[in-house]
Amino acid sequence: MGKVIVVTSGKGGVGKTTCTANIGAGLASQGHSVVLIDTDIGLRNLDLVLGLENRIVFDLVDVVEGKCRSFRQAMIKDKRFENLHILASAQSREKDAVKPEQMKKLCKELKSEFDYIILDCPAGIEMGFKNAIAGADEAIVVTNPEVSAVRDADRIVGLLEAAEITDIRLILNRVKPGLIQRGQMLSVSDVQGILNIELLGQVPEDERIVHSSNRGEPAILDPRSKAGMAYRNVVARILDPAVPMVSPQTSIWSKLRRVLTADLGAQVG
Amino acid sequence: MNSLLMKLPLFHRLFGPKEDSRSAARDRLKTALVTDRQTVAPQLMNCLQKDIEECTSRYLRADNNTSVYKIIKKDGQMTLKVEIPILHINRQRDLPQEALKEERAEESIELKLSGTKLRKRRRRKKEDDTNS
Repeated sequence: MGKVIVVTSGKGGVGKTTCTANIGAGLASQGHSVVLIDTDIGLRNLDLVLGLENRIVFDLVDVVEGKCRSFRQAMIKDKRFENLHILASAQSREKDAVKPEQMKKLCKELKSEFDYIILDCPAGIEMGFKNAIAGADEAIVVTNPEVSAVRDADRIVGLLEAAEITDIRLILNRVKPGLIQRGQMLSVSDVQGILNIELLGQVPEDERIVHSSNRGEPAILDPRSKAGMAYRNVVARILDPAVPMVSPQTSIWSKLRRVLTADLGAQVG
Repeated sequence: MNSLLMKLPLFHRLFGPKEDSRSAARDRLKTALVTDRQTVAPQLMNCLQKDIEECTSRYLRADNNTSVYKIIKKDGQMTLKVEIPILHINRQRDLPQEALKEERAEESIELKLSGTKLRKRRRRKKEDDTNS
């Protein structure tokens, strides 16, 4: 029996789709059968981030409306990871084209065939969100160390709990250790203290993520990507919660700067 | 000279005053979330009110229909404000016996303490008397 995990955030642009793509690719590369579902109807992106945009024939709405024989026909198999499948969202439809009951049924069917079903949830708390969480067993809340993103994440946690999803874990994305050290950004423990949910992982801000999505290749494949390294840790922790969490390291330069600032700053002041 | 140098971005970043916005973010968020959580979960206030009513009923009879339960901002902090009109206060013999027992135990400790103090004071007084 597989697990249905919804990746959600409330606020847009915090990295849900990137998270979904990387976690999916990571789990598949570890030999687990994975299906990623883009539930953002009208604004599909997961296919693009994974470089599979040219292979879509059927989408999520076709599946729930029975326009294709079964969900198998609509699934795109990723050529890089043989265990990774994606079910794209419909681009030319409205959010209410799918109902929570239909999502529940689809998730139930998929659970019997795949190890992990990961749902990429749209931003907001309307219909799209309700659809995405309808069939979910657990949730991963993605947020950034910014007041607006954290506040929205708190709201989402409340709504998930109201929907009786109690297994909720947090990924703090776009962490800038240098800024935290200088007291200009909420730290990982600040955010965790405020939201009070289990921390699954922390992903540093990484310019190479842009390269990855430009090329349609998950960062988890990029050995030079710091974010990719963090996602590998997240995947390991999903598979085994006993694996310790890796914190993003500050660069040598920012450490050196801090030492200089502290010493010389004291002399100047 | 110093202020001239400070206008250079690099210099300012290295030696300029430290700007701490992290704690501001943390404090503002905490306050905002108190109101948010209250509106997201109105059950919270209902449950709290029921609990408090149950608790106060052991000590007094309150007019629970006109009581007020509110979370307000006071001195920059979120505060729970409760106003319960009292109709009748219970007599000592009607107080919950468990709580009363604990209260008495504490009182007797206090009495013992004050007892030793009293003895000390008396001894001192005696010494003063004999001296004079």
